Amino acid sequence: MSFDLLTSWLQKFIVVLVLFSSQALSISLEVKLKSSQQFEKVRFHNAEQDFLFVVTTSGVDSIDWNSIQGVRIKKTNDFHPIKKTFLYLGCFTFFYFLLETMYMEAPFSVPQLLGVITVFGGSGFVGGVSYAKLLEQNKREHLFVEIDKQNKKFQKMLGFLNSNKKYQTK
Amino acid sequence: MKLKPIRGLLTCLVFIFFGPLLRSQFVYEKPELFDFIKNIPPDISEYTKQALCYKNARNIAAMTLGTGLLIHYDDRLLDVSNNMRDQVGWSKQIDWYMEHIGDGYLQLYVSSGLIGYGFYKKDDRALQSASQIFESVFASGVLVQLFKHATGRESPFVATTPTGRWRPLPNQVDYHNHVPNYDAFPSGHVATITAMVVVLSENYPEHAFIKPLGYLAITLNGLGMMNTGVHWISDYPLGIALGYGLAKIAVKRGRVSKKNNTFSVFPSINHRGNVGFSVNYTL
Repeated sequence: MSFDLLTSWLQKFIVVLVLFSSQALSISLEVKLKSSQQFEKVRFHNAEQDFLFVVTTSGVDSIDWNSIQGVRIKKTNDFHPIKKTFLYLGCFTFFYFLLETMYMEAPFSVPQLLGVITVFGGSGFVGGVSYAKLLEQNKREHLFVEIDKQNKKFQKMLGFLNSNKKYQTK
Repeated sequence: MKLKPIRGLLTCLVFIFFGPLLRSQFVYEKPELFDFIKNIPPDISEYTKQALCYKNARNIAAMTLGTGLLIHYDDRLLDVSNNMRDQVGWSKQIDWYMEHIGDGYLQLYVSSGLIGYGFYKKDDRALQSASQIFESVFASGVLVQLFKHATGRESPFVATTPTGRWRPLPNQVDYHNHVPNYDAFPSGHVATITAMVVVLSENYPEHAFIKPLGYLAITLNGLGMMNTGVHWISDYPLGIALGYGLAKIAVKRGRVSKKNNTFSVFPSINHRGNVGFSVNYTL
C-alpha cells in the first residue's frame, strides 16, 4: 500500500489551513522596577519614548521608563507554525502508517485487537508528552534588556514590542 | 441568492482569523479514571429526554424528513459519489484512509495524546477533553448499535434492492452471522468523528482550525464510506445527531462555567490623555 495521501490535494489543503490558523509567535512581557526585587508580568499596550503603557484591570496605565531597571521578553507556549505543521502532519502520517501496518493482519483476534489498542493508546500518549515537552523547551527562551534610553538596544526593543503586540499571551 | 456564498465565505474568514481571540470560559476538574464509563447511562438518559421533548420536535421532524428524502435518492447519490471519485481521480486507497477517520482508532490516538499532554502539563482541560471523547464515543456507540440491531438495513455492497433492504428487528443470530446485511443504519463512524470534533471545538474555542478541519473530516469520512460501499448517505443524519448531541451532553457535564456577571463603572484616562468613564459588563 502506498502513501499517495502525501501528495494529495487533501494534505495540501490541511497544510494551508493549519498555517493560516496558527500563531507565529507567542510572547509575554515582564518588568522589573528599580524599586522592586522581582519581575512582574504586565499586559503590554503601547511603548513610547518616555512611557511604557500597560493594560490593568482598571484601564490603561503608564510606567516611566526611568523607573524600570529592565524588561524580560519571554517566548511562551507556542512554536513556529511550520514546525507545528510538520509535527501535526508527522503524527497524522504516523497514525496511518500504524493503521496500514496493523490492518494487514485484519480481521483481528481478541489478543490482536488488544495489541492494536495498546499501540494506538501508547503512541498517542507518547506523542502528547513529546508535544508538551516541546512547548516546555520553548518556554525557557527569553530576552533580557536593561533599560538605558541612550542605548540602541532600547530603540530596537520599542520597535519589537510595538510590532509584536498581537502575539502576546493573555 | 448570490450573496449566500459570499456571506458564507466571510463567516468562514471571520471564524478563522478571529477565532483565536476566543478563550475558554470554563473551569475543568481532573476527571476520575472511570468517569467516562459511569457517565454513559445518564448521558443516554439525558439524550433521550432531550430528543423526545416538545422543544425538539421540529429538529427531529426535519431530520426524519431529511433522512426519508435521502433514502429515496440513496442509489443515485451513491452513484454521484462514485462518479466524483472517478472524475477527481482519487484511488481506492484514499477511500480507505477516509473511511478510517471514524473507526475509533483515530479517536483513541487523539485522546491518548491529550492524556499524555494533560498528565505532563497538569492540564485538566486536556484530561477532561480525553475523558469526554471516550464518553461520547462509547455512548453514541451504544445507541448506534441499538439502532443497527433494530433497523436491520443492508449495506450498499451487499444490497439486494437499489436502496438496500430493511429487515426491522432481525433474528440476532442471523445478524451476527451476516453483519453487513443488517448494520448500515445509522453510521457509527460518522457519530464517532462528529463526537470528537464537537468535544474538541467546544473545549478549545481558541483553536479556530478545529471546526473547519473537523467538518471536512466528517465529510471525507462520509464520502469514503459511500465509495467503499459501507454506508448510504441516508445513514448519516442520525449518526451526526447522535454524535453531536451526546458530545454536547458530555462536554456540559465535564466543565463548569466561570461566568460571574459583574457590572462596574469607573473613571479612566488613556495614553493620549483623554479622560472618560469605563463601563464593564462581564457576561
